[in-house]
Amino acid sequence: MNENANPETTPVAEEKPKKAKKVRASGGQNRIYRLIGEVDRPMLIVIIALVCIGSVMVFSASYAVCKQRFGDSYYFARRQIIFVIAGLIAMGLIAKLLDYRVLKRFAYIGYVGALGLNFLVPFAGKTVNGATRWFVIFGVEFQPSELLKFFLVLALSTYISNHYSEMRSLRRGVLPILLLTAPAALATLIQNHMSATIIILLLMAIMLWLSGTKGFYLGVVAGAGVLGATVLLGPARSLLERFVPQVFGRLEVWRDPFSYMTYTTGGKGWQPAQSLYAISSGGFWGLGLGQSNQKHGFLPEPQNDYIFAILCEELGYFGVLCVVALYGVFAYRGYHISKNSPNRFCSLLSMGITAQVVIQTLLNFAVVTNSIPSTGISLPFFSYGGTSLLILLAEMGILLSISRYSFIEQN
Amino acid sequence: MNTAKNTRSAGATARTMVIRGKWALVFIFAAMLALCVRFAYLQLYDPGNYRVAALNQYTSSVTIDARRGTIYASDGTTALAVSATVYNCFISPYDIFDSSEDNAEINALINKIADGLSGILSVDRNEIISKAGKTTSKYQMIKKYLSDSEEAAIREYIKENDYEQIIHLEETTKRVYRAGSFAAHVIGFSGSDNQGLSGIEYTYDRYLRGTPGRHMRATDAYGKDLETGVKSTYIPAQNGLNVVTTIDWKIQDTVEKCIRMAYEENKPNGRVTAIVMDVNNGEILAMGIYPSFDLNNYNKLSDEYQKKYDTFIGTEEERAAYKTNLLYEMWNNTAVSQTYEPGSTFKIITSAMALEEGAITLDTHFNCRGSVSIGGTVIHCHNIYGHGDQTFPEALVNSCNPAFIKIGEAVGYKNFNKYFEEFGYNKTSGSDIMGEASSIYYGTTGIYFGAVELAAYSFGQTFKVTPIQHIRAVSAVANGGDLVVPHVVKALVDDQGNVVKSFDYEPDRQVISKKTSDTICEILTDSTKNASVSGYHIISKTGTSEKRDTKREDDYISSCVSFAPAADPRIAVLVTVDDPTAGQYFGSAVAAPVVANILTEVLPHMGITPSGDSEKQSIKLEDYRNSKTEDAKTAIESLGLKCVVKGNGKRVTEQMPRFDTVINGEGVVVLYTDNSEVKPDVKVPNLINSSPNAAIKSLINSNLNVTVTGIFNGDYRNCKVVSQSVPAGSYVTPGTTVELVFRYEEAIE
Repeated sequence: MNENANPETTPVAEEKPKKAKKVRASGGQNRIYRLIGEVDRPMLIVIIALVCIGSVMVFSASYAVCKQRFGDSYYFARRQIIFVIAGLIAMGLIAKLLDYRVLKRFAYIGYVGALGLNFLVPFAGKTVNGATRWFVIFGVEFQPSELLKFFLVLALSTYISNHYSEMRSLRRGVLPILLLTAPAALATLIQNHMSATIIILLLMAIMLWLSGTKGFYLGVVAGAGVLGATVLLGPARSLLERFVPQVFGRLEVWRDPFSYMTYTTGGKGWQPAQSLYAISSGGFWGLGLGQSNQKHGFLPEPQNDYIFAILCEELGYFGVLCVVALYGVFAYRGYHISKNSPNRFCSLLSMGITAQVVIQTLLNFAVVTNSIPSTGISLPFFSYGGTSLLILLAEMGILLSISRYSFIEQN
Repeated sequence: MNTAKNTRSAGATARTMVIRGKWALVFIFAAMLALCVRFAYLQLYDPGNYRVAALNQYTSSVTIDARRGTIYASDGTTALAVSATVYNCFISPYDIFDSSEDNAEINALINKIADGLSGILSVDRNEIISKAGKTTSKYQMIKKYLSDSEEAAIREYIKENDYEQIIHLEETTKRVYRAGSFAAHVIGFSGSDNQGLSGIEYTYDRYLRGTPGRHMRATDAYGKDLETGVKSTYIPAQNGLNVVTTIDWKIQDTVEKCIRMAYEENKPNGRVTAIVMDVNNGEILAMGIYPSFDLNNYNKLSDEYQKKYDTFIGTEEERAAYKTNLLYEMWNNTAVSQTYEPGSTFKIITSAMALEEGAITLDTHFNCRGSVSIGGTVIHCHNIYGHGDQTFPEALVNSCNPAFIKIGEAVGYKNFNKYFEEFGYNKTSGSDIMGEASSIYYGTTGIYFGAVELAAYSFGQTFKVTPIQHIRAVSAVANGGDLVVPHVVKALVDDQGNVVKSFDYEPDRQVISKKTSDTICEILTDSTKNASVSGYHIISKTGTSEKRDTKREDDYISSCVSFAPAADPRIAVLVTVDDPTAGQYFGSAVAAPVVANILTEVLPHMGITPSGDSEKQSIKLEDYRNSKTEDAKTAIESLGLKCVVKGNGKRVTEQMPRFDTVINGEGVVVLYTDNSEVKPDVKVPNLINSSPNAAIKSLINSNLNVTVTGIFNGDYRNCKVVSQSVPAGSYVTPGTTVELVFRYEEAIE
């Protein structure tokens, strides 16, 4: 690997614009060709592959539900495809045209704006299934927490890259990061959006880790977390039951979802149980695309968080391996882009975006297999949801854009 | 920012970042791998059998009940047990929850339905609520076998409230026994899940039950057919085969009537059992046990047993246990499962072996002095003065115990045992009747089979056999020597009436020769007048056996076995009365009249016409009303009847008995003229224990008519009235017919 080359190809931030402009200016006739070729091509292919499979799965998973609910099998699929097209266009434009330095300029202000939206949403948002997390703009639902995650990564990347030398300090490195993240965590907490909080905290942890902070701090936090969880699940279960019954209830359902399937037992176990039915029904080769039985009203909202269960049922373990492999390649290329980034900011940002996608994916897989308690985590590129896909593809555009710079600047 | 410092430290930390990024990547890959393992565990290993669970939730399999076969009487058209269509009521909780988004509304609906259904079906309300809470279920049974009124009320309730999706009626079948207690022990009963529990219902269950069909429907959660790989299938039910029994419903009806009468007359502690069998092929034409029970309510004690239960004193538990015992006793088919000592009826068999072996001849003489001492044990004859000198036929008719002890000695215990086995007493009869017991008979060898035992065996005591074994054995004597196999089912037919399988039972073996058989039949023909029917010749042997296994001293089983007609026996009848308590206990007095009553109706039904020589002329009265008094009187007297005229009118206004009444032999007709009134002014005399001549004379003198039963071939000797249809001392109109029952005072035990 070219680890040794890295310091050389990671010049000081202030030097870059000149060099980039020079290259671009001297590009001449070759520029168009380079515009297509210069992004990280494996990453581009993986993203497009995931988006395509995801779109097909949205259609497959939702058509029975749509037919029942709207009398139109294509209802969700049609809406999703509009956002796929819009998202891909946005991704392409951002990848080709964005100068990543612009992002750094808008990092904090964007973060503040996203925070504002998130604090506003409990009061002005739309309530779905008892949770108020959505704004409705021109009939399109929009979840501001999606935006928040990105801006948090951006803000953290900005801060860390600006104060890189101080990151090993607790007071001047770790504390500001914690303070920066705290409002985001708080905003999602008051939305009662547990999964977003978890993702935000994990993103913070990974950013801290990358920033070069002392492993000891993270170790302490991780150790305390593991210890706390062990105590709460083991000897102190009654405390949990008494003081946070909703969390306790969730853990009970996780332990045995099949006991909580019926109306009389609260019905909370229904979705995870149906998910397990769907996954197991797939076998190795699956029932075939479109052949899921579970999506016919048994697994609720099959196009959303549990879409992967339908994929498991229809495409089997083979399909699972293919999709996991795609995400694996995605993670690796994200790392590769980060490694070859022109500077620390890009490196952190690309790693942050990659981590955001991968963390969400892993958590989603864990939820559908009932490996962790059920919580609302959508699967990037798969789950139905126009705006979140749009934001995701925009982020992918940024990722690709950064890869383009590394290409440019390496030459 | 200090560029130099930054550059220096950047060099070190940039590397750190890459290394840490790599670690992060490694961590991510590890997590992916772990999740792949988890997926593999679920998808390839399927730990919780989720695949089946999933399949179950989108396939609903409805069992289509097979209709249980009908049980027919021997004519193949009279149904004794049929499966009728009834309805079950079930609810679909899934549709309750589908009806609304609002939990409060759903709860209100559940409560409303629970109230409604519990009101109509008298089912526990809470049970309905808990069943309604099973959100995913579409089939929760509320009540099975609705009555017609319940069914109608539910239909109305569904219609009224528009609950078509929620409350459903499901067609099913229920066993109905056409005549309640009719042949209850033979037919048996079946449980609610189409499984035979006793009798033919049990023995032929595999034919009767049929094969249930299945409707496998693959539906989505909204109840529509799935278009995916899971397909709906429909396998129709195969109805059970119909069973044609050998039970002749007419004979069975007669038997049940007669044994009920015998039960009421003799008030036995045990039961009255009667078997009517075709001697040539072993078909059981009737099998009656009284007290019986109602097949349609087989768990309910019949009146006689209820009385026993009501008088039982004990704790709740003891009472419950006693009730169970009574139920089992009530269901018990004593004709096959209760062993008894056959007593004198067994002398038929002893005679058969002796004649067959040539141990005696018809000319062998026996001298009876009232008792005989065997190895120090004194055995008495029922005639304590002794029968004196008698030939073998006389000894058999006299049923002389000392003579039979001698015959037993002549046969020898080896031959006795051989024939005992040959006659099938050592094994169950091989019949298709449920619950056959084994006989109790001590071995041939060793200390148990000494002279005393042989002596007791020879007149049918100290061993126990079942009635079915006994009638089978004696039938071999009646039919020329073939040991037939008793059975109650002759064929299986399908719904179109085609015979699917017929059961032919070949006789097991020839036990004795035709000659021996004929000889014994000849000796016993008309030997028991109480068991005889005027106009017919009947072979009978009665028995009165001590019940050795009860504590009381004077417990007897009275029995009588008969074959008819004597010339060529076609049927055998065996009647046992277990422990009669109404005074009489001799088989000839208790069981023989039952046989006579049965045969009186059965023989004409079987197309056997009476020989008629002893029948008195029957006179059918004409309508004398409005004719001249004198003419009517002349006409009546010319028929040989007594005529009494009341009043002085010229014309007859009323007559007793009315026209079309049949008068046998002697009789009286009372004519009323003008304004004379029909009044119950004749006092019925007490005729119990009178002789026939005196009784008839007394009645005619009182201007009453008479019909007699129990008189065999006009033989008025040695018999007395045992009952009269109108009680002595009551007042009746002149010309009323009084029925007298006579019984011969025979002591042939």
